[in-house]
Amino acid sequence: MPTNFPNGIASYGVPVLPGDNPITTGSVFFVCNRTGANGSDGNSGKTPSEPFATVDYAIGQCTPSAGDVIYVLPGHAETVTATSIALDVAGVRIIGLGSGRSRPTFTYGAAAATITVSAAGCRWSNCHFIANFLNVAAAFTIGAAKDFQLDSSSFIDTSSTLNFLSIVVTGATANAADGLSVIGNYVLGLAATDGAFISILGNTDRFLAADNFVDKAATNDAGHFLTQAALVMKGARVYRNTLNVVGSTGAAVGVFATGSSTTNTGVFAYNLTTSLDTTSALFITAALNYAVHENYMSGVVAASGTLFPAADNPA
Amino acid sequence: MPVNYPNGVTSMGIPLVPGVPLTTGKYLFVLSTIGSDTNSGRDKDHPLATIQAAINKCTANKNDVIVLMPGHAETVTATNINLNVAGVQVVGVGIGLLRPTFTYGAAAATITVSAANCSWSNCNHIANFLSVAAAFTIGAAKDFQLNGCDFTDTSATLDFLSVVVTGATNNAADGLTVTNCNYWSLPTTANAFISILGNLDRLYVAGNYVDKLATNDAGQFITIAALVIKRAQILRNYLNVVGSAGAAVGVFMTGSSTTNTGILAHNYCVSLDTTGGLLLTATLNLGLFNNGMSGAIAASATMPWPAADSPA
Repeated sequence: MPTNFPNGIASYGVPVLPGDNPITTGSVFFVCNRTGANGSDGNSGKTPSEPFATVDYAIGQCTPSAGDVIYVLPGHAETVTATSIALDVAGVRIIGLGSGRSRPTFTYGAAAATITVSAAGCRWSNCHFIANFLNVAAAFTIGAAKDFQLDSSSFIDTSSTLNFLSIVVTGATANAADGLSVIGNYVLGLAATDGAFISILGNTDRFLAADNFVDKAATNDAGHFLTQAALVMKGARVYRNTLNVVGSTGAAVGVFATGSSTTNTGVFAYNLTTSLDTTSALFITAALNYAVHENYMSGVVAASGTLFPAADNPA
Repeated sequence: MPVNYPNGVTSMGIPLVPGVPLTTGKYLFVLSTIGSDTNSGRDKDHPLATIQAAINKCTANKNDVIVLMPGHAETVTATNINLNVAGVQVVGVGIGLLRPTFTYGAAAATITVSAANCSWSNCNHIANFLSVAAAFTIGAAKDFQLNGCDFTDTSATLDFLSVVVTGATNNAADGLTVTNCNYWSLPTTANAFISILGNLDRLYVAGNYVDKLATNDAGQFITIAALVIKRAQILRNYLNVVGSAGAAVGVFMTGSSTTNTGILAHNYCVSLDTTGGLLLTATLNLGLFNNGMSGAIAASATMPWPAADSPA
């Protein structure tokens, strides 16, 4: 039998955990409410055998800006309400363990159900999110929370009437969500009409969206990946995302992204979009002022994408 | 509470600290808010206060690792940080602005690298003085790696001119590697992101994003002047620069040597330049594959740029 340290080992004060986990010089907590997992918010939460029962309680035990990590164990499941989970301690990373549907699952049972993020430098990774109510407005609502990172997670509608409208929605305060990063997520949208995958409602600098796959049954064409209305984004990077949307044949606005500001800066590159739009076929609103490199769009599922918008001649 | 071994746990003689590079040397911890340079720095509860104190405790060529804890902050001067012990790896911990932050408060403020095989990763670097010449100055320091860092101007007049500048000694900075960095530049006139001032072999620059308000067009990403770079790899970088409409020189890269070797591939550039439309000085002798350039912000980059030949 191996020598077991039931309360773990710290080396130089740093918790030692195997696997590809980020270093923390803060504390480590565990969460699991799976049957038989002994989860309770009365536990220490310091070991997998004494986990907390809820993520929000674990967040409340964290120290701001210390880089604390919360590991959520396979099989953990929570129902999200409008107020049940507030990621409100700076620098906390929430990491789900497991793969596929064994990952921790969060089910949204009200239109206003959402996970709010209101502290800087946080991350949420590798979890499974399910819409189980009509028109859940936002899986994540980002308040005063710079540099939030959402990655490696999946967002699934239960049906066309038990659905997310958007996955990430920021607040209206300018620059409150600077540095927002959305990376490597999978979205399956079943509603005939929905909102954008990411909706920017306040000026945002250093936005990053990369390697996301978004598959939507929506039959409207407007900004299914990103909408930013009249807000300004500086230094945005939107790379290597795929958007499959049913769409409609005659949309007059950007299928992938829409907005009205003409003073944005940043790059959209290697994004792939398919929708039925074969009339005006706008990839993004033309005047958004982003550099656009090697984005492809198709109006026919069986056809290859065409470089969109057309290239200029810089000479 | 976990069983803590303040002097560390080793397995097969290797210190165990997960999530940071493996080392057969030692780990040192730095945090300005609670640290003291009279501490040992050997565990996270007794950190040093400054990175230079940690560097001074390192042993050359042992691959010692300096862990900069979240919230660490220092002001950089012209002389206070010199990465002068070979093989030291500096690793910032944290996300976004909670990563360790280095603020430059003088034009000559710079982090000097003067030993071989060092690396620096995952930190914020902020210009807070007019025309800070270089965030990093690379001296006799082969194989330096700068990875995953952000460089941000406070305003158009509190700005970096360049991020990385090498010295003039030939081959002193061979193997220079700059990857996955972001540079948000605000002045109307700036120099190159990377400025090569001595002949340099094995330059590797990949995955960087550079966004500049500069209205000059010349070599905003890399300049090599008359120096020679051999076996260079410049891959998958993005340059957005306001630029000007009629630049006659390479917007992305300039130089005058015709004996360089290496490749420039999958780089993308936008500037207002619609007259000459030069991605790089034409005679640099680098292999060019699938680079793109656009002179109109709403148009896709033309691929490949410069135009392809027919090898048949």
